[in-house]
Formats: sequence, C-alpha cells, structure tokens
Amino acid sequence: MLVLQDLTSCVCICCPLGCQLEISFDELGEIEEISGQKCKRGEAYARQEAVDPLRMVTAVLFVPGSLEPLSVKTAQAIPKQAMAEVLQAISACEPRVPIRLGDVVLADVCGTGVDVIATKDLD
Amino acid sequence: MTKAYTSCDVCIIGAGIAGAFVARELSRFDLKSVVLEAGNDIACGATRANSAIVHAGFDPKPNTNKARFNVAGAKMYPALAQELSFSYQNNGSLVVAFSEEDLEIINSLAQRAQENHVEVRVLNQEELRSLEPNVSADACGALLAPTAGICDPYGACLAAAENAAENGVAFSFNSRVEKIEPLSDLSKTDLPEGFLPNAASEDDDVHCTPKWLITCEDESQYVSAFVVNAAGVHSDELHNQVSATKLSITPRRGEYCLYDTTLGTTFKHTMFQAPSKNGKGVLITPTVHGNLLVGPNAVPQDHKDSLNTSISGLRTIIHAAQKTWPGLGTRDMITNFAGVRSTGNTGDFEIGEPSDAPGFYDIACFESPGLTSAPAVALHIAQEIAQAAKAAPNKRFNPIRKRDHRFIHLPNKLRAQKVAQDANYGRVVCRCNGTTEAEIIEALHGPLPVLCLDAIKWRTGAMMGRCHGGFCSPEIARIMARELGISPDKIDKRTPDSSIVATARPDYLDLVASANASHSGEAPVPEANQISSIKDSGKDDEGKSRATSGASLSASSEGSSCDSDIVSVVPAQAKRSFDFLQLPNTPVEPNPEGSAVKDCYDVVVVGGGAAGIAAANAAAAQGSSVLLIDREAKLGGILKQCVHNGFGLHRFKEELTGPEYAKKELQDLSFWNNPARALDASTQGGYVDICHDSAVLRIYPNNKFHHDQWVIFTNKTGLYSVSALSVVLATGSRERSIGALNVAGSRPAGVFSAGSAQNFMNLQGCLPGKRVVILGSGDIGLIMARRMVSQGAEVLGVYELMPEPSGLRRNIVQCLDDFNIPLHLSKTVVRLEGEGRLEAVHVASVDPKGMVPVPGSEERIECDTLLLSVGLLPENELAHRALLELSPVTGGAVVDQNLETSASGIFACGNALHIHDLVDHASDEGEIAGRAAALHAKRNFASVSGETPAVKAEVLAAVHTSNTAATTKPHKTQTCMSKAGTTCSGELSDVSGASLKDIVTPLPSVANGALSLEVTPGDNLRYCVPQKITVIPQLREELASAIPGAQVSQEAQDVVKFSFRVTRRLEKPRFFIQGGMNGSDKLETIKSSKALIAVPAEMLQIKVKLADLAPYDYICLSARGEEE
Repeated sequence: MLVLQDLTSCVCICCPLGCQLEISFDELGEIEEISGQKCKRGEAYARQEAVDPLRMVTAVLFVPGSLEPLSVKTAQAIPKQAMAEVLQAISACEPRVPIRLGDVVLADVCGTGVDVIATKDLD
Repeated sequence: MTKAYTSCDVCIIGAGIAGAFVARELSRFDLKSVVLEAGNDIACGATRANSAIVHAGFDPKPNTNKARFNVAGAKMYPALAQELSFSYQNNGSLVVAFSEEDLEIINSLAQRAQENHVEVRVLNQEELRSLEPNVSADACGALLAPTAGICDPYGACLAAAENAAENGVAFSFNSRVEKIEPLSDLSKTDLPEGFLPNAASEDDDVHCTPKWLITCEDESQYVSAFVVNAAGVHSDELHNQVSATKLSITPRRGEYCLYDTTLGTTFKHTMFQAPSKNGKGVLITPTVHGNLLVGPNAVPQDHKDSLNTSISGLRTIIHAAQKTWPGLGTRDMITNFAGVRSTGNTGDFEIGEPSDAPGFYDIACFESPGLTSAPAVALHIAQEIAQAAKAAPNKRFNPIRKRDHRFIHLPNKLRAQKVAQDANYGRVVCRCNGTTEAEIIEALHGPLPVLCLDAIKWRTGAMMGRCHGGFCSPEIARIMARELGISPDKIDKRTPDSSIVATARPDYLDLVASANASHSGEAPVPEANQISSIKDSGKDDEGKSRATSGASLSASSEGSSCDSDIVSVVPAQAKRSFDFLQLPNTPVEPNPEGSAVKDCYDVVVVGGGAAGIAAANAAAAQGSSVLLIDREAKLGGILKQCVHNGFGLHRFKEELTGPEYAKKELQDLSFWNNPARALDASTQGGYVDICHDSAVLRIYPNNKFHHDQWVIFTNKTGLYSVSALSVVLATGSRERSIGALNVAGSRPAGVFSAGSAQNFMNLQGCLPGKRVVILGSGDIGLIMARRMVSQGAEVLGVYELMPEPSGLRRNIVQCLDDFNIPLHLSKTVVRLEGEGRLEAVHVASVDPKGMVPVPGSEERIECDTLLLSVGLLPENELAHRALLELSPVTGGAVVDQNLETSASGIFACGNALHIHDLVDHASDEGEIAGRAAALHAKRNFASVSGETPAVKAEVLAAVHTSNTAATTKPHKTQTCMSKAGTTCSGELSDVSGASLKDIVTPLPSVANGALSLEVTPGDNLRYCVPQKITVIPQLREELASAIPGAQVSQEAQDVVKFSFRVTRRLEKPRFFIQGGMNGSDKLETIKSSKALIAVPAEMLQIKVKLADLAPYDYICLSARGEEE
C-alpha cells in the first residue's frame, strides 16, 4: 500500500533568495523532513512556519509636533496571527519627541513578549 | 444691504485663449470687465490640449473669418510673446507630399496662400530632405510656410490673463454660466435683489447702462452692458440663449502623443501631411519645451467635456504619423492626451454681434486656427465694444508683463543674484525641470489664484518632467499647504473633487506652518569647509565685500559693469579665438587670504543615498578630500522613506529597516565628516565635507583644455562651483510613470508612482487613497500593498503585465499572501476612468507572446487609487548633459570595471548606473566607485596642478555660453590649492582654433595606450555591468612573461565584479564568462558558475580575476538553463 505523506510547502522569507521549502510530516504530525533550503536559517524558518508562523511588523505613527511620522518595528518577529492586533496597538501609541533609534515605543506589545522600537531619530 | 449681484461693463465668459486675450484688450479701456470661468483655472478647454501651432494662414478658405483672423493673428504673435513673456518660436511649417496627387494638392494650397497673402514656397524632394533629413524616404515634396510657428498655449493664455488682471480685470473661477437674459425682458420679480433698472450704477467703475443679467450655476449674478461669449465648446449654448439664429457645435476629439525631449530635435519644422480625401493627416512637431508632439485625429463625440483618449485613437495617430517619420513608435512616449475642438455647423468662426442680440459678442465655433486667431479676434471685439461703450482709454494700462526666464535657464550670474535676493531660488524642488521653491511660491501668489496642483505644473513646469512629479509632488503639496493654508486632502489635482490624497492628519497645516517658522532665517550652510560662490562681478577690487559661503551674494547693481572688464583679464589672442562663442566676461579671482573657502576637492560625490555615502566613505579612506552633495535635508536618499525591513542582510548580517540601514552608513560618514581628519596622518588626511539641501545643476567634464571636473551646484546660501579631480555620480533612479505606459482614458487624480505614495505616507503621514489597485509587481509596489492595507486601505489586487512577478519572492509572500491580496499575472491596466479623482481602472489580459492586451478581455475595477510599480530608470540628467556615453539597455552610463564612465575621472554607481535589487549591492558598488575615484585623483593630481587657470576660465565660459545660453561666472581656478600646498600657475596656452566640439567633448577614460575590451551580454542576459574592461598594456606584458614566484602587480591581482540580470526565469542555470579574439568567432570559457534558479527580478553577480580577462579582445557573458 502506498502511504501518502502530509506535505506542505512555503517560500522562505529570510533573505532575498526566497527558497521554495518543502516540509513533510510523519503520521504523528511531526516534521519529518525539510528540503529546498540553501542555509540553516531556511531550515529554522520552515520549522517555525510549519507550526507557528512569525512575521516582523513595521509601521509609522504620528508624533505630536512632527510632520514626519515615526517609523517603528517589532524588535523580533511576532506571531503572524497577531499582526492586525499589533498594528492596532502601535497606532494607538503616542510617543513624544525627542526619540532615538532603538527607543522602546511600546513594551511587550499585545503580550507577545516583543517590544516595538523606533527605527529612526526624531527631534 | 449687500448687493446680491455684481455690476460690470463687460462680462467675458470663458478664460481660454480667446477670453484671456479679449480681457487683455479690453483692459486698455476704462471699462470694468469680469471674466467668468467654469473651471478652476485658465485654459481648461481646448487651449490646454491642442497642437500648439501658430498657423501661417495658407489653409483657411479665402475671405472667411478663419482666413482673416488667422493671418492677422499669426503676425501678432512674435510681438505679443515679447510683450507678455511667453514662449513662441518661429520654426516654419512644411506640408509634406507623398504622391503625385499630394503634389497637386500642395500646389493648390500654394495658390490659396497667395490669395490669403501668406508667404509660401514649394520645395522639391531634395530641398525638403536638406531641411528635414529625418523625413520619410517616400516624401516627394513639400510646401514651406516660413512664418508659421509654435507656442506655449497655456503660457500665452496665462500671460494674457495675468496682464489683464494686472490692468484691472477681475477673474472668477468655478463660475459656470447657466443663463444669460436681457434685463429688458425680465419682470420686476426676476430682477436680482436690490437692482433698480433705471438708476445709475452705485459702482463708480461701471460706466455703461446694464443690459444683461448673467446667472451662474452657484446662483451668483452679474449685470453687464456687454457680454463676450468665449465659452469654447459651450459657446453655441450661450449663443442660442440670446439669438434666434441657432448655432450647433459638434465636439470633435483630437488625440495626441507627447514624446521625450530626446526626440525633440527629430524635426525642426512643424510637419503636416498633405490633406486628402481620407482626412487632414496627422502632424509631427517640435514643441517650445523641446518635446516632440504627434497628433491629432478628429473623432466626433457626444460629450463636450470628456477628454478621454482611446486605445484605438492612439494607435491610429502613431500609425498615421509613421508616414512622415517611419522611426516613430511608443518608445520615449511620455504621455498622451486629448483636446476637444468646437466644430460649428457654419464651417467658419462666428465672431461678433448676432443681428438680434446687440451687446452680445460671439467668439463661437472657435476651432483651429483659433489659437492663432485669438489675438486678432480679441482686438476686433475689444474695439467694437469700446466704440459702442464710448470708452476712454485706461490711463494706467501697462502692456508689458515681465517675467524672468525660469531659474534653470538663466546664466549663472543671474542665478547667483536670484539666490542672493531670495534664498528659495537655491532650493530646486523639481529635479527633472529644475523648478525652484521660489518660483512655486511666486506662482502661488501670482495675479491669478492657484486652485489646483496642475495650475502649478502648467505655470512653473514642475512635475512636467520625466518623473511626472513622482519625486516632487509630495513636496509641492507641502509647499501649497503652507502657502495657501489648504491641507493635501483638500488640494485638488485638477478639477474640483480631485483631491491628491485621501486623508491628511488633522494638524497637518499647523505642523507645516511651524516647521517653516523654525527654519526661516536659518539657511543651510555647507557643514564643514565652505566653498566659493560664483561671483557676480569680475572686478578684482579688494575693497568689495567677498561672497563667501553663508553670506549673501552681493548686489545685482554690480552685475551690469562686467562686460567691460574682460580685456584686462584675458590676452587678446585668446579672446579673439573665442569671439565666435560670444565670450562672456571671465574673471578669475583668488580666494581671500586666510579664508576657509575651498574651491577644489579630490572627489565630488553627487547624491547622498546608499551608493553616494559608501562612495564618499571609500574615497576618504583612500586619503581623498571629498565633497558629498545631496538634494535633501537629511542624507540617506530613498532609504528614509523605506520604513519596512529587509535591508542590510549582506552588508551588516542583520535585517534592518531603511532608516536603520542609512544610520549605520552615516555613522561611518560622521567619522570622515570632521575637519580634524584633514590633518590626521593615520588616515592620510582623507575627509568628507557635506552640502545637503543642494542641487547639482551641471557637471563640466574635463576636456583637452583642463584635466579637472567642474561641478556647479546651488543651495539656499548661494550658487557654487567646485573643481574636482574625480566625480562620482550616485544620483539614484526615478520611477517609470503612467505617461510611459500609453494607458488610454482620462488623467484623474489618484494615480501615483509607488514611491510617491510611499513618500506621502511615510514622510508626511498622508493616506494616498482608500480603494487601491497596484499595477506592476515591483518590490516597491508589493511593499506599498502591505503598507496601505496596514494603514486601513483596501488593496484590490496587484496586476502584472509579465507572466512572472518582477518583485522578490519573499515580498510576494509577506506583502501579498499574508494579507490575501491577489496577484494577477499577464494582466495590465489599459484605461483610466474618472474626470476628477480616479473612479475605475480597466484591466485586460495580455498575450504573453506579443505582449499586447487581448481584445475583449477588459474588466472594470472600481477604485480611487492606482499605484504604479512598473520599474525604475537610472537618473541620468547630469550624465546626459555631461555628454557621457549612456547604455540604451540599462539607461545608465557605460562603465569599465572601475565604474569609470566614458569621461575620464567621472564614475557612476548605485541605481544611477543600473537598477539594483538590494541596497546592499548599491552600497558595495558605491565603495568600488569611491575607491577608484580616489585613485584617479591621486594619479592625476600632478597633471591638473600644472594647468593654466585663465585658459580654464575661458573654456568654462565658452562652454556655458554655447550649451546653456548662460554667461556663467567661472569658479576661481587661480589658486588651486592642494593639500600639498602647491599652487598651480602657468602660461596661457594657445586655444585658438578650438572648435566647440573640442571644448565640450570630455577626455576619454581609456587613454595612454590602454585597451578597452568590450563586454557583451550573450544568451539569456538582458545586460551586464561593466560594459567594458580597461587593460593597461603593462598587465598584458606581465602576464605574457609571467615568471613563477615573481612579484605580481596590483592590476594582476584585481578582481572584476560583473553585475547582470537574466531575461527570463531559468531553472538550475549555468553562467559563463567567455573571452574571444578578434578575427575569430571562437569563445573560450574563462569561468563558469551555477545557481538553483535565476529570475529577472534578481540581480546576479560574478567575480573574476582581471588577469584572466586581460588576454582576450572581447568578453561575453551568458546564461543557460537546465532545459537547454
């Protein structure tokens, strides 16, 4: 009898190469094999993507007194499904100038354990 | 009680060319005139969209209004253009014959010309060919009309209207006239409130007894003695309200294609085709702005105000124009547009009073040659009205409307004066057409109100250049907001309800106003070492205040004394030799003793984006003195608005956002941007000075008379000229715009290049639109899809012409898939819909073979915004003007492995050279160029320091005169101070006999017996950079006599990095670098490498040793997929 294996594929987003990854699962639903990646980051990405996809979030928000908005990012990737919630939380922030690149604008956003940090200086 | 109506003597309806000239002619008299315009600007109708031709007058049937006013009007144009400062050129026209039958038609036209008293001459094929060498070989003769010309119709209309306004005529926009009634016909209750029929006017300016009541759509009312009907396509409707003799206008659309200025010199004359039974043919003409215009067709349409172009119409005119010029295609097309002619039922213009409506003056059915006839018609109408009104002359009438030429077209002396008078002249806002902030502000506060963004475009030329406002429209919106107090979501692009962005933050206006207040009075001064200004006077008088950077340039009153100074500076011999170039004054003035002003740098880097910063750092690290010049207030280029992550993986081994990447590069730069570095032996004295907010206007490459490069730039503190041994061009790229895509339909607001939308969102906090379609799957488009969704907009889909996405795969995943945005391949936008703001786009499937839309596959998608991500083009205006060889494939300069262009000492890197996929690669390339520029400077220092400054000054002056009609003051080359302290000096060498070509031709980069190996892209490659490899003969000798273990030269160890892109997707490709010898077709493989996949979206790079390439005569790069 032919045993069909569960298989999923995705494009790695770790770098511009965009490797086409294939992830196969055993009958218990555990990852059995990952192929298509050209580096270790790809393998780690595939493992993560298969169970709990993560994404970096970047946004801009208004700062009182500055026409130029502040650009921010999550310090690390956050769960993909939390993206909308995180964007919402970021847009509710009201940081004050002066702000330095790397300043925490919002700590532990939406309970993800990840901080939102400024990506530019704003005076 | 406020009056419910306005009293005037004359009511002019319509502010097109006819209404504007009538207003101006009437302002010669003591009459109160009001112009009522339905649109929100002058020239909203046919005046804005026509062939822009001043017809000689041979064509209209003799003894018609058309013939009479055309001939008279054409004669008035040259003087009017002078008086009112608008563009007009007497270029002459040709009616080209392609057959025996055509020749007969031409002869009959010549006959008609005689009856109309218009000078013409019939040319034979040979004569035609010598006048216009590009005309089709099928052309067998032509009718030459030497008095014909071309003009700027909007400019002429604006000039007449502004002059009228300056002489007292009132203008009311957004005032569409609905009703015209004779007051005598009205019952008391229908009269406007407060109007007493037989009482003298309370208004002292109004002299005549009122006769007409004019009511506008907004219910405002005007009472006047005379009405001028200059309502264009609607003139029949107004006429029919007052006269029993009915007129009827059939609107006839004329479609046009406008081409880039690179094609502007294809023809000198306006090229008509001999009219035939099948129609009048289409014309090809240069425009006064240097473009090439092709059109029109003549398509009757139902709607009078619809300016939509059609897919079939555009195809037809290009096809028809190919009869005159077979070389015409869609390449270099920058936009298409349509105008609507007012073709009347009588076949002639309807001019003057209808017999049953005295006091009502028609300028109706005013189709071609209306533009030409307008001044003569206006004169006629104004005289009739003045006579009927027994009007006295307006004693304060001033016929002169004086306007300076655009800043960018001024000689440098005048530019410097302008900047000294108003620092805003030193801020170039529109990089394509060089429009300055001062000119925009002046237009915003001109005699007529500016009510939309397009009014600025037409008045100043800003946003009319190659990028179609992609770069400058966000900035111009900000200036408009500041000057007029209207926030961008309330600023219309063109018609009412065509807002440029959907939302702006509520405090936008306050922020713009406060930002301006904090900046005023604080001009940006070059940060470290100041450089000299171009002086406005050649006088070598020590007593006069010196213009140093930061200080304002001294008074214009000194300027006029220059011309007599020349004899004392330049020996007669040299002067004589340059007389033919109208040599301007050429002072050479030393720097003041002990001044910090600096004239000379080893390396000047133009552009402070990723590549430019890297180039400046790399050159300084080689011990060079570097000047980095950037347009913007903050360095970093486009990175500043790229707030998403994904940058720096190669260069910094971490994933950064754009601003973070820029900051890392700038940290290195701040090390070099320190005056103390100049004295630091451990770093060989290398340093970087920075001039931000500064626009480079021109680079004069070295030539056979001087071995340094001259860079002219301006900022709010003045106009500067520096000498450099090397120049690095890191000017970045611009986005392809909608105009280049030949999309039919309307020209609504809401069409953005993706980068322009990104600027609005990320640097100004405006949301461009709410229902978005994205055309093109370039990375910026994909990134913007995610940004717009994140900000609450709805993105309906991304449409890609090609069967492959052109952006990176990771961006398809994280920008589209993650947000469920569909990607449609092999589909494109073929038509835009919406008169004000965009209302819908029509998309069609594309046949991948012919790359043409499939008929019948159109689908309408309602949206308010179209973002374009259809490719980037290297920004090469400076390179082009410096006569560098440019690659037709990449659009950037042709370079060798050191990224040196065809001009010795001028280097190019980053997106200015070719479009990169990743900023990391642009930075790396900047480093190569910066290092090579520094080495070039070191090698050439000696040769330059021995040159004669006076000759250089002569040459600079001559070049300026001839190329820009500019009488530039050259920079101070007398003391070319080097770090080593040598001062150049020398005898004036004999430059007599030098031709203009000698003077403007840059020194070639390949010299002294060096060989240049051509590098060609072979199978499956679109391009590769560098396009040539320079090999010095010593290297070949060294390689030929290589002794094992012997010392190897630097050149033999050099590594060449090839960057290239494939033409299509290749699975498991192999790449080959091959070499060949002259006289043989055989290619030897020098190096090969492989990859898993290659797609056009990604740039690929291969490194190879120069020594391995050196033995060959030419090099070929190619790729082969697995399947081949």
